[in-house]
Amino acid sequence: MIDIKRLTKRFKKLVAVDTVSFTCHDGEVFGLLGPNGAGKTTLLRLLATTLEPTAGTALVDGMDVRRESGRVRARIGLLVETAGLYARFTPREHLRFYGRLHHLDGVQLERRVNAVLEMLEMADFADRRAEGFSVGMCRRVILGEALVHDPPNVILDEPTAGLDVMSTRSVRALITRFRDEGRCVLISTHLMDEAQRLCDRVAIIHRGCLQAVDTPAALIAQTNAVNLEEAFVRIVGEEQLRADLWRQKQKYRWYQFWRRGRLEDRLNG
Amino acid sequence: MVRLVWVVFVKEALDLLRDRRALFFLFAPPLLIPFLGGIGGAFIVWQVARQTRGGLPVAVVNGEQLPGLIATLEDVDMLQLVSVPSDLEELLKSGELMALLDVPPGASELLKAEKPVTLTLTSSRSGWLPDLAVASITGALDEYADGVLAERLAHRELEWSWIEPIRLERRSAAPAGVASTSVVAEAVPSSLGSIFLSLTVASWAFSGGLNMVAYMTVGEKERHTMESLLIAPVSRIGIVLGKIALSIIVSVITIGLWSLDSLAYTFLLSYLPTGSRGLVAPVTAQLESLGLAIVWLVLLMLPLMTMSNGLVAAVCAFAKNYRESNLFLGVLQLLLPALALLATFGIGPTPPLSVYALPVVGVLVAMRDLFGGGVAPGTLALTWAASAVYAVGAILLAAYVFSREWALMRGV
Repeated sequence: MIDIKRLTKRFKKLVAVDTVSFTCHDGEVFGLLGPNGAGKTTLLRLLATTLEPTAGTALVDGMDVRRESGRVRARIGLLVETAGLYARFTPREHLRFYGRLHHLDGVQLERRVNAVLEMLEMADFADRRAEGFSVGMCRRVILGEALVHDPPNVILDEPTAGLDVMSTRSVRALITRFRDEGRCVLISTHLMDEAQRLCDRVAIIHRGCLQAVDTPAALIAQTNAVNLEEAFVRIVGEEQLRADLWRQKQKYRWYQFWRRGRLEDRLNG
Repeated sequence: MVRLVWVVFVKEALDLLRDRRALFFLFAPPLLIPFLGGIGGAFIVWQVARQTRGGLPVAVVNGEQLPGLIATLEDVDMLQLVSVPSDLEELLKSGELMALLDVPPGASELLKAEKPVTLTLTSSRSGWLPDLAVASITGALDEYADGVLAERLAHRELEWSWIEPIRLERRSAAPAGVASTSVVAEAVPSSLGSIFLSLTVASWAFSGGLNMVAYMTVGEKERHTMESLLIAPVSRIGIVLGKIALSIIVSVITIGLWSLDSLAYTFLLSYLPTGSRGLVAPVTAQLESLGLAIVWLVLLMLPLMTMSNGLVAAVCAFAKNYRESNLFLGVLQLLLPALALLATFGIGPTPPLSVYALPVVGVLVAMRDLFGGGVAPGTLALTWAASAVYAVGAILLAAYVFSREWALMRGV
């Protein structure tokens, strides 16, 4: 289970994640939706302990990401959207290496490696060096690295980005399987159709702030939309519109102030 | 921790072993250069033998004036004395005659009167064969002049040492324990050797595995594998140690290979049959005194290399990409000649003990003294201990940088 309370991350003046709170339960697929630059990846990195929160708490199976980062890392599997591979290593060697980093060894390691290779349908290219792999093959290997230690919490950043139809379908089936196995699955996506189909609940993030958390059906109902995409546009769009109006108003105020100053100067001078 | 270091080390070693280009640039130069040098040398010897078969044609005008000189020239295998042709100029220009030695009339009488004789040597057009002929004639002339001088000395009942009124015997007052030593003590002043040694050793320490460290740290960012590595539940210091361990081993192997090359060349030079006496003293005579110095050299090199690798790992872990890391490494490497110069010229012959404990400079000064003026074992031990502390510090710095998001997430 992942429990986030008032989680905040600042990079100098930029607030990437602003007091975000939600809970992702075991046996649930929880979707993070948001436009580009909304703070989704930063939030996932905070959970994966590669970034340290500025404020707030995040608990993974009751363990604090800040104080017990090592134990948290052992209980999560993270698929990073931009992750790469070692070109001179085969998928099997990748899995072995990451398995060893997760303290697996001997028969147990080989069993897990073979299980992951089978689960992600990598048997065909398991012993081929990664140089020249297609996007789909790379994603499967990277997903395998995240799953080799059988983590109870799976965090997937844009899991189907760049995949063809068949690979997308198999990844989606895998996500459903994780839920059925009782894992806590947190995915970040900007594909509304995928979120509506896969997620039990979704959170909409915009400019680092949480705008809404509910089931896709409830969000659609609340916004009188026909689907999640429209609901998302209404939620984010309204917020965007409000923000843009506020910015214009501020600009206009400064402009008025500047004009008045110039007018006074002219009258005086 | 040991297991983690091993896991990371094995992974990096496997990656290196599969990278043919990196392997080539690491190990091919020390392995191939002596081989290619040997082939080149053999080719030169073969060409010289082929083109000088039968001797290089040279002529001596008025040779009858100095029959001793003619006899000496005839003894030189490289030369073939020919009778003076009528069309001298043309033969010289065309290269059919390599050189012409002109003995002035009355040379014999001048020598008998113990007066100087000026000979004229005209060589053919430029090229290595005429140069070889000129060098051979000059050598024979020197030999003949030595004979004439010996005759004159004997005539006056003087010893050869008469023309050498002052002799110099060099000794070194090294502190007890590790004596000063130099492989080419007679040929090269020891201070010159120590300058090059400290610079070379420091260059080794800051070059061998540095590109590998860059590949293993900033390379993780470039390949986008850094994040996957960081979310493993292992200590960052273990990851850093695993990476540095490989780079140190590779550095030691490459330095070892280069050292073997140098040793092989020195052996070859010391056993050259002729014309090389005095150029390089036989190494076997020096090995006994060199042994201890070499042990100390290795002992001092290890912490210096570890420190440089740690520093580079820290710098490269901070860098966004290869381009930035190359910039940082360039600045680091530029510091080296400055430090070597400071150690050799900026610090006096008997510096205070604290100098030996300075980072990098301390080791360079110790090496300068080890192969220059001599140094006490206690001082060397102090230098080693200080270097070891700096090495641990550099590794801790690398581990610190490797665990900071402001460094790791740059460029990710």
